[in-house]
Amino acid sequence: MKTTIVDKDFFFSLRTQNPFLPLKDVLRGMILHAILDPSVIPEIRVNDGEIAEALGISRTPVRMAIDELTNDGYLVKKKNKGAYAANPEIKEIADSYVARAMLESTAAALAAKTITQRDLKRLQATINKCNQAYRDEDLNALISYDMQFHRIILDAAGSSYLKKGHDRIDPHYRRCTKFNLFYRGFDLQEFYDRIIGGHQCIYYALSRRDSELAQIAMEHHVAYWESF
Amino acid sequence: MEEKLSQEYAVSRTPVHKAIEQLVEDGYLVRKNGRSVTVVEPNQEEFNNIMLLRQSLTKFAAIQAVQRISVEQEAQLMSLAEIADNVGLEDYYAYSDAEIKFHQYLIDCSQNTHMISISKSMEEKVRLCLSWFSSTYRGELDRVTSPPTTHVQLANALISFRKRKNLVPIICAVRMHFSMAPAIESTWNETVRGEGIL
Repeated sequence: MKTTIVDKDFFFSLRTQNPFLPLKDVLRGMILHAILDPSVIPEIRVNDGEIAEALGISRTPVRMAIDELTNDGYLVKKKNKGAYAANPEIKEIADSYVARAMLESTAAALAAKTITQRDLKRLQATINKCNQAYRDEDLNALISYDMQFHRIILDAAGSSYLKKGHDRIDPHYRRCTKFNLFYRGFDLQEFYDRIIGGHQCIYYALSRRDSELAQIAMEHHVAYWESF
Repeated sequence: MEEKLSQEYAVSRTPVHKAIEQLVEDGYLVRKNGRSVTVVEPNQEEFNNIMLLRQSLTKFAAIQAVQRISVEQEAQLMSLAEIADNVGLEDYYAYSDAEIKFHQYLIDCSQNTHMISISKSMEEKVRLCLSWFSSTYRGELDRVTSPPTTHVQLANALISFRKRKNLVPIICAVRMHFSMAPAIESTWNETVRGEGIL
């Protein structure tokens, strides 16, 4: 379990990617990346002084980033204690899971009509990589290949409304998933079964170009955790 | 085109140019030969895709809405449904207006900010698709549009949840409400093939 917000590699890679991005936005990206990362402890303290010192920058942009994230609800300020990563509320969890089930199932239904052989091969490859990650007991890799699988389907669906909606709910969804992994008890076996079983059903439906089946399989796969 | 618009509304060409650029970027207009712009017409495929997206939005919004809706909102939803069902297909613009208002209100009732924003972002597109639909099927709208009682039926299914606590009628009602889309596809093929265009 990581107990620090500062990720120098990520910070510098963001800086080199876009040298003209204001420092506060780079810091916002780094802090958000850390609090959405399932291997960083939940409710972690976000201290402006520590971050500024570790990166060798002034405290003002760090404070600005923290204020912005507090306004967006990702951080919460406690009296005389500073800022902490906030846990999502019940309503937020329900909303982002429902919205995601809607987006993903529609994407699957649209993708079934248009998906190319090349994308089907890429889907199969991510399923194989998930298997490998499970054998290595690498939770982070498992989650990142899971996201890749969904990303391919979303791109294949080719709807700008779905993509915009996805970009909007993605950080909320990841925060809620992290919360669930920690506080609801977590079983790697069950998590793996859900991912692999679901992905294989979806792959089967897509390869048969069965729009309705793909929609139902995705709905079941995404809505599995949450009873809404 | 730009000159004509700027003369007609007595404004300079810059804002007109900017507005057109914005519409091209959003995909409502398309530039041809560098200068002239034309409206992008939706096609059957796009219409079906937008309706599919709308159907999923409505289904998931309805599932959340029934758990959060208040009695006043139920009454408001019902009155919007009655308007949509009674406006008649002769004035298709008024019909699609009432239709969109009903669906938007239903999604608002879910109180899910993500879904509300997705639905708002595609509202213009839905309007465009509906007007394309009415011009394509002019004269036979009563045959290809869903029978004009389904909005009230959908609202009734939602309201019945308070008593019955059963989601199945709601999911069925949404499916039924949108189930014209595949029928349109087949009628379209029949008409076009029948007239020997394909």
